[in-house]
Amino acid sequence: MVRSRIFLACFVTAFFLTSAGTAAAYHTRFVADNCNYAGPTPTPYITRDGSTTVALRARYEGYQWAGGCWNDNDRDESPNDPTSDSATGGEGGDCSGFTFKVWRESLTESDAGFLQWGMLRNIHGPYTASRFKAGAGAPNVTVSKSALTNMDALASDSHIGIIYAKNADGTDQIIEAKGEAYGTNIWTRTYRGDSSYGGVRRTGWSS
Amino acid sequence: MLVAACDENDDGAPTTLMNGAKAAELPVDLEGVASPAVLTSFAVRRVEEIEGASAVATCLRQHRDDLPYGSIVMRVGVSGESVTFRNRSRRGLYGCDNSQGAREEDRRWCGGAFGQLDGGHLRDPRLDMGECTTRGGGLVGFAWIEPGPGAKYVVVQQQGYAEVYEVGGGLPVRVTTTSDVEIEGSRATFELSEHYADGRAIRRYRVDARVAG
Repeated sequence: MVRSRIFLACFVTAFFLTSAGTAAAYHTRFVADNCNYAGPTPTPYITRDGSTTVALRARYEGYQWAGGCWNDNDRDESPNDPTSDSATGGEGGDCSGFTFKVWRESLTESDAGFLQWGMLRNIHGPYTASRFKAGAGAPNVTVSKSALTNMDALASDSHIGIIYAKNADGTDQIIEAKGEAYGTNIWTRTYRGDSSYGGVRRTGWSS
Repeated sequence: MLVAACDENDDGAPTTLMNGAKAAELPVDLEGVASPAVLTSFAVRRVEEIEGASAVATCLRQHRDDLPYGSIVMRVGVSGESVTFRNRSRRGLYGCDNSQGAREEDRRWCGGAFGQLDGGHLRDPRLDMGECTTRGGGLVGFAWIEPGPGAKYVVVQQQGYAEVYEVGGGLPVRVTTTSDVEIEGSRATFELSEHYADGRAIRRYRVDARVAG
């Protein structure tokens, strides 16, 4: 009897130790339970107002490294999951995944079409912030920061944010997937005055 | 007279690198590598050794706002070539990637990457894909691998052969794959092994890299 109780105690201890180890390998069910892999819907044209609408749907949602899937309930479904881990399965895009969907980009530079990706379509796109900064993606171009307007972007080698509005003091209201601790939202930023940031424009807007 | 119409050797491995140079002979047998192996080339230079008109200089100029520090490593493989260097703060790693396929505006480098170094290490492999393709249009993925202590060779399993990279320059090794690159998932899988200088295997592993950040 005593021996079986000792065995039980050891088993329970081992179980909890094992569980603690598993908890370190954090994973949410958001992507698995909510996201899809549906094809995009081609649209004949895009407008800056239309992309603003796409961007605002992601506002208040989460941030996921290498992610690109979110809903529109204004709540981060996977807050504070481990940073820089593409396998955590959480809600949200990262900065470049968010930009890819807001700009309604295609997957290849040879396709300059406009593609509407659903909010819950889990896609990041093939471009990092660094590549957007270099003008990668179809059909994106680098532009002078002084020429930037809303729905253009400011990109560095490690981050990209989209201009939601310009402030009178020379700063910008940037809509961006900022980080795991912040999610996706609009912040006043000074990227325009930061030499590590360059201006990037998605071309082809109808208005 | 019979003229060879391909650049493979008897066991099916490519014999030339993407710059047309003949691949050097691998000096050791690599334990556990069954496929025919191709040794990629690499060179290490200091910034002051880079000639202004060279391809490497065009890479450095792309990042002229963030000056390079220390070694610059140039690699040429079968389907891809790359340049890797640290920035002056030593907190960032830059890469320029090139392949044989067409690209917009006839750029010298079809792609590139930046990785923040945290404690001297990358947070992820900084996958670059989408813009770089083979001559036939297939996708080429590039990623940095940080070999473990003692590793002299990093081997990437390609379709039908193994591509061998020498570790050097004190920098992560920029490797290429053409065999499992998926554009929709913005991901690529690298089947890897690391070996000591005498060819003994250290470890065999898989890296599932995703485009991020």
